[in-house]
Amino acid sequence: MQPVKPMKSKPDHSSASDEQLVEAAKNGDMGAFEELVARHRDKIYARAYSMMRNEDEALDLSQEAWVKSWQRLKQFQGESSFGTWMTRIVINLCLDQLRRRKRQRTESIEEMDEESGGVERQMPVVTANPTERLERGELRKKIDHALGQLSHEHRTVLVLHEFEEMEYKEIARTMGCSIGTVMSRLFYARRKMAALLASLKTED
Amino acid sequence: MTNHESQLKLQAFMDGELSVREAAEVREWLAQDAEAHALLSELRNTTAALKGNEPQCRLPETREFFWSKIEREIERQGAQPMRPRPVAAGSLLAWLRRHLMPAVGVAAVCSALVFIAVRSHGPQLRIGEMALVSDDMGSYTYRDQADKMTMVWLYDRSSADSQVADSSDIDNVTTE
Amino acid sequence: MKRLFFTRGFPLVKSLACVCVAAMVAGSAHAQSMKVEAKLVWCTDDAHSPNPKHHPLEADLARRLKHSPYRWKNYFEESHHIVDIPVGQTRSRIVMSPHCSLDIKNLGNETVEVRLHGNGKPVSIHTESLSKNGLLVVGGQAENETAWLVTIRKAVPAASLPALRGIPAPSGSASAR
Repeated sequence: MQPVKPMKSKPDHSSASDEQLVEAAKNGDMGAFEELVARHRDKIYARAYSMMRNEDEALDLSQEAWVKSWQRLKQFQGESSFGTWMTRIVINLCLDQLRRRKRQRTESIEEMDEESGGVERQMPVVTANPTERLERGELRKKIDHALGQLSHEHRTVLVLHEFEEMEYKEIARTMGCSIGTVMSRLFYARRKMAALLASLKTED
Repeated sequence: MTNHESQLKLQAFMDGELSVREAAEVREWLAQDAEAHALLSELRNTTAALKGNEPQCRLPETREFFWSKIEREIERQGAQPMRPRPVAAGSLLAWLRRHLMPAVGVAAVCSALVFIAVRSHGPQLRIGEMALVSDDMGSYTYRDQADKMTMVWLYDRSSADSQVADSSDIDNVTTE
Repeated sequence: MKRLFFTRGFPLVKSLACVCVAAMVAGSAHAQSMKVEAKLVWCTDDAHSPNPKHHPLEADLARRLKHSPYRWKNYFEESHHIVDIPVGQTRSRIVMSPHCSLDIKNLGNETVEVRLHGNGKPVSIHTESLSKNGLLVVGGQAENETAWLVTIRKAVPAASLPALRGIPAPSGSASAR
């Protein structure tokens, strides 16, 4: 008579904390890593999409970010949350992609305007708050639409400052530019955003 | 209040990036300049609208399908998470060991050939180029053509504080 | 015939002689060594350095560094070497600090290959022209929002300073070799 083998059950990772999952994944537990992917995949994809504005690219880059994070997991020492660490990885992959794209592009007058502000420099100040009395879902939709109309440079600096809450110095290091450039880009990005949100309001 | 520098200072004031003394100066200025006040309001409204209102989007693939792609790629690239390498790696040494050791038997001939090659073709890297020895390191290169200065900023890719986890080895920022 | 040979041959001989002389001049220029200056600089926004051995970096070099995206309010010199390197040769293990050393190779034409080592292990390799006041800076972040930089440029003889505005005298420097 053959002894009955106990059924091998898959460990349940759903109740474990991120820290526990990271530790398990560091020891080679792919199930724990899969749980981390499941928990953070939307956020990582959303960050990639907010920077690239292209679903396919965002999907590829977020996948690449997860593969990289597995490879570098043992380097993660918990100085920040796992989500923040992952977000930094995907942000830098997106920046690499944008730089590669920029290198392939010839410099145009519009690009020079990005740095100097172009028309935003002369734009009148938007006095009324264009987002007042908007429902959150509606506001998010408008913001999404407006972000899509910004240049990569302006959008990136806005995403890093407003959504990732990075300081000027951190943004400069991440983007590989001077603090002055960060300040300038952020200023024009905000001004353009204000004008776009105002115009979207009047269009409705 | 048309000075661009002043506008940026106003923004830095709003973002809490000014020293106590500079912030006090901006406050004084705001009390006297209605135009500056209006611009600050606009900047504040935009920032407030964005805060917490990042557009939401969901990954357009099922958990299982997305994971299967990641799993496949991980398996393709090697099964285990990599161990951290505290200081820039020994990959160059490994490369030398692997590729140059077999050449020991013909060292004299090779030396002569290498010498001739170096004399005639110059270094492996072209002028202005750089190479990192470790995969764990990343770099930015900034060139100031007018000042004839090249600055290479090295960072540890694995450090979350460095903000740079995975960028290409060389990124060039060039000024005229 | 002789004259004909001479009149015909002389331009050839002269040309060959010119080529030989030019080659010799070029060869001797090529074989010249180059004095390279390397400095280890600590950067901070604080007014003073806690290290008593540090002294403020010369103003001209600090001014150039302040034009980069990675700038700090104050720069302090930690160590300073001037090495004389013949063309094709390498000065190895130029110790900038207990953790940082350099190998510098003179590739000729005022170009160098710099190998940076951290804690004895190779970190990066750079090839740069130092001609016309060229400056190579390699840096990285340190603790508490400070940074370190290694600056490499051609050392200028003190005698030629008045003629070359903006290049500081390599006075008080320690020679690595």
